[in-house]
Amino acid sequence: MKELLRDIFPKIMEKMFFLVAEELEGGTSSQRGDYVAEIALRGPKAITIRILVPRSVGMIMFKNLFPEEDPEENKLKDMLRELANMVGGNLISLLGAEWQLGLPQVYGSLEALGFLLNKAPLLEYDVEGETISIYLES
Amino acid sequence: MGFNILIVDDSSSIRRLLKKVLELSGIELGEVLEASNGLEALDVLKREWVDFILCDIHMPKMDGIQFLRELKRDEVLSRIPVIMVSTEGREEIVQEVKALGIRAYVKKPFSPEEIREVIENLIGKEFSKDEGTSS
Repeated sequence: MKELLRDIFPKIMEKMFFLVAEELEGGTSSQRGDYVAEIALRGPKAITIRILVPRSVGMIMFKNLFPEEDPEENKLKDMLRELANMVGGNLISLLGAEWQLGLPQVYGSLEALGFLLNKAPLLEYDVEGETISIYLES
Repeated sequence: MGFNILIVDDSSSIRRLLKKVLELSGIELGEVLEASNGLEALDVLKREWVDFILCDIHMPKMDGIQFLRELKRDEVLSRIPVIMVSTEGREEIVQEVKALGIRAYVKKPFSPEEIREVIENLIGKEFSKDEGTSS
């Protein structure tokens, strides 16, 4: 699963958001972020992928995608929901027919960090000097 | 007279992005309509004629596959070309939507160039004699 996500995530960041996501070897475990974009996968087992995104990176992603728009909170969250959707969708494309994709969700601030308390990220990426962390729960 | 286009996706980000790509593509546009799922899209199609549809697969209420089946049941609506734009890449699902008559399949994440190329191909094939059928 880690290898698949390692293959998928940087490609989405580059192709959709025009950003380089560089994997942080060893990780930082900073758990710093303002939003959690989440998607559930159902198949031989239930998996939830959570992506912890700092607001500053979310703003850069938004500006790259919609340079002429104001980054309103609901628009920012919708964009992050679609990020989770793309990660989940591309993952089940590799996992096979027995998997189903859930609908993506986005949570903010304290609500988001509650999910991740005392959990270690599966993967961490440096994006524009900030850290995006990916968590996997099964 | 420009092309009337319906974008069906539960993500407003993707709808706005596709609309922007269409606006920058140089294609002569009529009205660009939006729906957030298959049910809403059918509702739009009761009121408006569109020249083609860009449609996601995974959506709440009515997904893209069910929407295609509904289009196929209708003699008039089944003539509207559909381009699927989805994260879904599993071969069996892609084959299923192709069997339902879609004209092209674009996988998310997509680049603006991919979308533009697919739409230009569609227009070249289906509307070369009579650009934009909107009334």
